[in-house]
Amino acid sequence: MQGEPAITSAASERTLSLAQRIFEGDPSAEQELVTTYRRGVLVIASARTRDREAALDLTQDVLVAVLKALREGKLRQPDKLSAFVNGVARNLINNYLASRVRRAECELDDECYTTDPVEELETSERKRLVRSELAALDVVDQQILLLSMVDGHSLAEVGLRLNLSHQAVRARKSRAIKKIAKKFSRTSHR
Amino acid sequence: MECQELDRSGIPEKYLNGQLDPATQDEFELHVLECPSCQRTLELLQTVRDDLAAHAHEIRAYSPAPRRYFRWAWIAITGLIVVAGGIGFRQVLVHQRARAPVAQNVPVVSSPAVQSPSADPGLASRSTDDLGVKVATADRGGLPARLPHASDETAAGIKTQPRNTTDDRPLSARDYTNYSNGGSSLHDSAQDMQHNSEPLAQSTAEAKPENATVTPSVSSSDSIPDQIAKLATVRPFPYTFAGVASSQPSGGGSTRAQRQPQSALSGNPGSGVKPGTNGFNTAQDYFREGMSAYVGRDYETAASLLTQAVMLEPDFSEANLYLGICKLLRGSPSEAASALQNAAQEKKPQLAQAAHFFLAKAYLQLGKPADAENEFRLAAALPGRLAGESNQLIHRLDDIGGESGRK
Repeated sequence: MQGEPAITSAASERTLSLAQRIFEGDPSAEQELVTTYRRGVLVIASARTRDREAALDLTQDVLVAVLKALREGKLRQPDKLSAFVNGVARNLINNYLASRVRRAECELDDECYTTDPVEELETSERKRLVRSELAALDVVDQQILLLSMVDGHSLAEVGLRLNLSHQAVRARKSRAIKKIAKKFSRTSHR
Repeated sequence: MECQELDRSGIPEKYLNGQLDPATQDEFELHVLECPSCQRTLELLQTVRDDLAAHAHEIRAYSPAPRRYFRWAWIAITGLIVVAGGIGFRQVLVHQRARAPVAQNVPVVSSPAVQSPSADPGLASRSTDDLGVKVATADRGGLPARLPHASDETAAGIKTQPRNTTDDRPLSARDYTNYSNGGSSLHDSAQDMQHNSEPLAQSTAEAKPENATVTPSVSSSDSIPDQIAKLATVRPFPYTFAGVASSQPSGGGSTRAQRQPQSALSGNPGSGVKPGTNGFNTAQDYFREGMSAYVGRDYETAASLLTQAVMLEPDFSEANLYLGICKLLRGSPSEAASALQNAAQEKKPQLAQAAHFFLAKAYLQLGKPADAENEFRLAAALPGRLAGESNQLIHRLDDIGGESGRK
């Protein structure tokens, strides 16, 4: 797992600058932090919790916690802002999963941290598109996706259940995902 | 982390399913925070997963096993239909071969089922009485008695029908087919002419198995009179009310086909009007009832009624033809010849052909092979079903003439 050194150094410089600007009280830097990390945190939180509402709440909590820490200058290594955000997110998500307590209160300005209507519209459109694509798939393909992605069965197990070979299951699943992704990419603007 | 590598190794999906170890998971999450592409991938997979989870019940409702069974069931049904069709087609072919006419240009076609008893050692050791065959002893018209071919049927394990004056089985279209096939008539009733007083209504075609080859049993080992006697055999010429009858010229009843007598169609002689009572005023009436008796194989009654028809209308060709045939079947070739000569004047080719053909038979029975050959030639020259058999019989007569010349 290696990243491009040039890109990494550029990203580090950007995060270093961003952390410094937030510590210095630059409001645009806070907005930039939210824009940079909100989607990633939301994706991770959604993946971990499997609950979009909880994920939204957790995303807010993560971003608030990161901003507070940056404002107070608690980030020891400003070039590792992403790792810091990831650590905060992991801790909060783990806490949530452990307690299953949703914290709905919002301590930040509504203007900055309410749900983005464009993003919600895009999410809605993406759901509709995925639904139509899935419905257009062969039933066997739908079952392959269901058994592997929802039930968590391996491809070999799926093949046994559906009387298909492992290769056939893998090929059909890959083909189905690619077909959906192709349509999906047209709606993803970011 | 390389995004393509991640996709290939299925890490995003494993991450969604919580199947990554903690270290890999941390590393992947860190990558996701900075990689919009992997974020989109995860979003897509999450959306798909959520949608699948929401519709899991519907998707699981489609059981692949029944669908597979359904598909195989259709394949099996189709296969069965194809096999059944093939078997049926084969049966049809076998049936057609069994009913295929003996090649008219081939003089003799032998079959184990119809070989002469002498060809079978087991049968040869038995007497003809053991075989249930009545040995003919009477000579007629200079023609010697011969061993009946009924023994052939007995040898084949077929029960020979008793000779009755009233054979209830009406003549059928199949009889006509057998007749037109030629050959079968040559031996089927060859025995009949040896019984002067017995009607010759026996038709062995029905008693034979379907696949038995009908063989004209004229062999070079027979004496010349025997061979001629075999050629002189007569089978009832089938009568179809829509066939030869419809060819009768005006006055002979061209409209008979439209008003077929019920008794004739049902094959139940005597069910119609009785002679001398209502409806028996014209030659047509007598002919109609006569043919009903003919179809019912009551040739004596038929001959009587057809005689009445001919008396009322001497030029009634069809009545003359069937009267001649009845007379032949009753063993009166001279009377038959007279009626058939009248019928031979008919202009309609099919009727005239039949008249010439049976007149030739009458001449053969009368011991006039030259006249018979002449009549056969006239019959062969006319279009009709009997042309082939006429030609065949001409060749036989030529062969017999050649043999007699050599002897």
